[in-house]
Amino acid sequence: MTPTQAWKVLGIAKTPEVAAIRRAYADRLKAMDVDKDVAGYARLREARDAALRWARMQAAKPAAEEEFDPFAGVTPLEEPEASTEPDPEPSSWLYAAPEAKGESDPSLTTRLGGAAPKLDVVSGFSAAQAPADQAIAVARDPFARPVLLGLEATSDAVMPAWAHEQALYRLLLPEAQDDELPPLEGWEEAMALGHLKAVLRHAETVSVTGFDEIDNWLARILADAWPRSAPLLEPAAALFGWESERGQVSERPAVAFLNARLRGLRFREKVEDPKHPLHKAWKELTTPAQQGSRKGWFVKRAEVDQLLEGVRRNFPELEHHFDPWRVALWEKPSGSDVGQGWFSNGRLIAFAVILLIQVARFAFSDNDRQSAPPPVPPIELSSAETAREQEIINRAVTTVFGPEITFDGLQSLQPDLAALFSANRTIARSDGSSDEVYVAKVHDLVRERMYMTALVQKGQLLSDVQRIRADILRAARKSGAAQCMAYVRTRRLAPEVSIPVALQLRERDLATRMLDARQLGPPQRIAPGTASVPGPLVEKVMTATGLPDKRVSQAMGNKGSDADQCAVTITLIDATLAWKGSAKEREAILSVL
Amino acid sequence: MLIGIDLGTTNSAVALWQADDNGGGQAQLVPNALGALLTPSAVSVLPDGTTLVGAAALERVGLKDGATATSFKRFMGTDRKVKLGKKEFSAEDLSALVLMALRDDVTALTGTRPTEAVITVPAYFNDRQRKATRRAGELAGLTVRRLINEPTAAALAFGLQDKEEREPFLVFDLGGGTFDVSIVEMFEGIVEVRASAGDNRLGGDDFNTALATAVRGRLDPDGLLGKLGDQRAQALLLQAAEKAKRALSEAQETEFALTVEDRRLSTTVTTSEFEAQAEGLIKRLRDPVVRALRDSQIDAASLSEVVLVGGATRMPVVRKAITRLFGRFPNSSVHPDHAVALGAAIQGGLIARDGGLEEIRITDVCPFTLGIETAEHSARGTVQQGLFSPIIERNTPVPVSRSGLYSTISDNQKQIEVKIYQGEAREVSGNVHLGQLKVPVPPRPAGEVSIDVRFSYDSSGLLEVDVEVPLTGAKHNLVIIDEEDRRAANDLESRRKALAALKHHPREEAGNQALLARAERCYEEFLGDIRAHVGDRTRMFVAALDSQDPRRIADAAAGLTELLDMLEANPPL
Repeated sequence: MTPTQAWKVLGIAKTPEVAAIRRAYADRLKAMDVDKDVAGYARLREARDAALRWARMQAAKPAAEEEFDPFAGVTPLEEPEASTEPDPEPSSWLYAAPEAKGESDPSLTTRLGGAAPKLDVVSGFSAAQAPADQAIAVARDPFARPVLLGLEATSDAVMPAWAHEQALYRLLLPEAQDDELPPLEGWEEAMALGHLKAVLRHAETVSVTGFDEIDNWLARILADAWPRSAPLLEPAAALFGWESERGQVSERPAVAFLNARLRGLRFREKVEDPKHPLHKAWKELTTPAQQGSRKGWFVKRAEVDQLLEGVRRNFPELEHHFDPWRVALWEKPSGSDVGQGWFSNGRLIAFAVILLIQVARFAFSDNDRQSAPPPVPPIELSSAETAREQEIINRAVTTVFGPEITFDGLQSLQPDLAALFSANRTIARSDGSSDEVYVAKVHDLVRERMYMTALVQKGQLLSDVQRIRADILRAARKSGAAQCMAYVRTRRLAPEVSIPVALQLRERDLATRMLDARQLGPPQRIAPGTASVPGPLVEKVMTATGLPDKRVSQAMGNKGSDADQCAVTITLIDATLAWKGSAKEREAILSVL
Repeated sequence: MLIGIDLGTTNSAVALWQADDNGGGQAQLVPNALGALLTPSAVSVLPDGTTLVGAAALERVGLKDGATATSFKRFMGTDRKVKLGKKEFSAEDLSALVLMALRDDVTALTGTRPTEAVITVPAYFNDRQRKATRRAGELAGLTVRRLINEPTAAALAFGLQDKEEREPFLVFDLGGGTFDVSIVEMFEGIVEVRASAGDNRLGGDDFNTALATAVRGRLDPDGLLGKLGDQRAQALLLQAAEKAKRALSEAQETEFALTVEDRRLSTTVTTSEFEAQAEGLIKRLRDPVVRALRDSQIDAASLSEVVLVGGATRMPVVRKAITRLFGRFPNSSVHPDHAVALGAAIQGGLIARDGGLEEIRITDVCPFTLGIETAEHSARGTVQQGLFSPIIERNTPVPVSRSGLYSTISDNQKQIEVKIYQGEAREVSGNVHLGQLKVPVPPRPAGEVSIDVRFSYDSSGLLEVDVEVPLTGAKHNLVIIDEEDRRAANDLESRRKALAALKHHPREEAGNQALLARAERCYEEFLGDIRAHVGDRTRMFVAALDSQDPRRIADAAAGLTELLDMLEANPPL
């Protein structure tokens, strides 16, 4: 509902006065029988909420303008208390909605996240002046959480709670780490546990809102730093009761991810006990193999199958403990559809993680192991078969890039991508999946690289890629909202989705252009991204989707029905692309969609 | 006449809206036959088949042939039955007996028999529990005009105290068996519930159980309690725990004592021990609070008040936890045991449009998610069934009407079964099944036929489901009445008669009956000379009752009461 409609429904002139809006709402409500006019009641509430939101924005405006004052904050001489007053400015804005940058999110990262300005433990207090645009973001964004109270005074004189948080964050997510994070080493683990303990202790003493914030924040960084954060999971989950959230409709994405990991950890503990019925199978699959290794003796096929199937179904991340060669030895040669291609070799873990993490809108590299392709069982091929294999690979290249590009061309421009094409072919052949599945899979991988590169490069490329992506989502939506969201979450297009020819051509053009510019390299690790969406865009999305603000805001927080999320994602991309606002903000939003 | 009833786990109360001559009015609690405003939710059956309700029944709970049921609200809406004497009773039947007693109290006060009632239920009661409560009212011969949520009722009573505008406040309602949190706002005569959350398996009773479990080992090293049978042993332990819990609200330590088969068992419990035992329960208080705040997008710091309701909020350990949760002291300006019944009476007055009440509108939310069962193709190509697809999300303001579009999953599917569920679990098996309907559809390839499922939830909590098949234009409608409800409606009349046929203890003798039951309990609790003394006095009292001489009865009652008061105030060791 637009503000104009809202005033009409309320029957009053535009006013920033909350009391007047409430009075109008109350009068209208008392005059109606809500049970007889359900739609009218919904409209009235919506109008009231829209009017109140507008009024709040009006009220916040002058404050934002003050922040613009170029002289504000440049008067340190007049603030001698600042040095003697230890009571923290810094902690209060630490909890405030962060600035509207690609790497901040009012609803998820209200603490030290990617964009939280760097706080030095020593000079932290002085570095802490809220940047002006931060305040504007709060004012403009109807979905930003209200600015929250700061940390309660901490009795821990040695190290305040926020410093523990800071230290924990740095330990878990050290900067300049492009590759997958290594596990915490002995001393790091001890330190991280110590800081975690302090953070948890602090969480128990603060009010319920503070507790909730720490809960959200920890869930995010633990998920983001997985598997590095593994030793910290149990104690955090115990305090926040994450497991009781399991299987709930409202289970937070990061918590869902961690709960799945937690069950995996528990299963691993159990199966490593020699008394576990599947222990032998576990040992067999986890023992490193060399070329020429044979299946272990005394290991029952049924147990191995049971273990593999169970792990793949329930704890996919555990498969990276397995030796791919051994798994290949035991895999049924017929290649039943259990594996479906993606789960059939050592790279499974990367896919699985991406699959789950993407739900929380984090992005990891999927190709960490690219440099060292896993051993694939050698299969003797006749020359006819080799020719056929070549032909299929070429077909895939043509499908993705158009007839101008050949496999050899691909190899010279982007050798690692070419290797990915042939490696996937080998996998597809060994697990017997169809040619279509193979082509679709490499197509997905290229689309993913296009997308990931665009996220890093930003600029015009990001707009181009997002424009096409919105169209792909639209095409996917024709097959259902679930297919649309599956693509958003997993970047895998469901087989039933058909892409219109015109779109196919546009996509090829862009892919070829990026290939020519050698922009289709292995995806880089992308920091967790979130952005705040300014009011006008939200209005647009609401009008375009016809959804009430609550559902739009839910959808933006990755909640709500697939249909809502899909519609909101598509319209938000469209609206942002068409938007004439600040380029920086535009980019920030496009980077998280 | 329309009355307001708080049907609680531990205690129940009834109130009336009374308009005064000046155009004002107020809600007033109705005293029971013993002159008390609270009636324990306990039902007992005497050996001769007579039923007792309230304090007298509660006194009998630990007796050898006690045949007493308490806390039955906890199994409301289930098939569980309790055997009292020769008969079996469901939670509905037992609740109906309590409601009848409350109804009679109103009749005694006003001279007219009430026919209609507003009954309160925990906000987090599900549909089945609500229906069972409604049926209990009907069994008691009351037309239930509305069920309202307990925290909403309490908010109403709180808000009418001073009729001020109120920014969002939080009602923290920890009763004997249920826990509710509601966030409420008041302005311009509107009472708006923003969100409710709760735990319908958490209450003061659980603290008793925790305490009893903790001390049982050292209290009874010889396992004497084990010889009594589970039910009675538990009753005795819980009775003692309740007493100890109350004492610990005022002292740092107290005695936990009970008498088994002429042997007195006793041990000391301290506040810190109790707090340690209660820790797990205290932790469970946080979750609903967080959920309600999250759902209403309100920050704890911006709440204007935290209002305490429910007897269990008197416990210092609970208050301490609340103060910590919210970083402030709670508001205890409403009576924790009375507010809900008073609020129900106010709601009754509003419905009846009684004088003295300005128009107040209450808008509530539906605290549970409502949706249907669906199947989905998983990422691995298999079909996953039994998934819950929400249509009305929890904490949506009611009345509300929402719809979802669903399509067939297999080729040439001839019908779609729409199964309706309530709950928060992603798999329907974890939710409450409310009903279902079968919708025939024209056979087509999978996904080509869709149906539009519309849920309409009205402000009295009735859910209506409309299914439309756009392809054929066919419409189907279902008003959710579950199987239980249908069956129960059929034999409502016969059950009502069965309950009415029970011998009820005459109301005018309730005081004497309660005293007698108390004397019996004390007789079992005390030993030696004191027991003999209690026995003598009891016999004198019974003799006085038999004489039917009111003066003699009054004298004997006074003497016995005095003795028991003295003994219970300073238990001789």
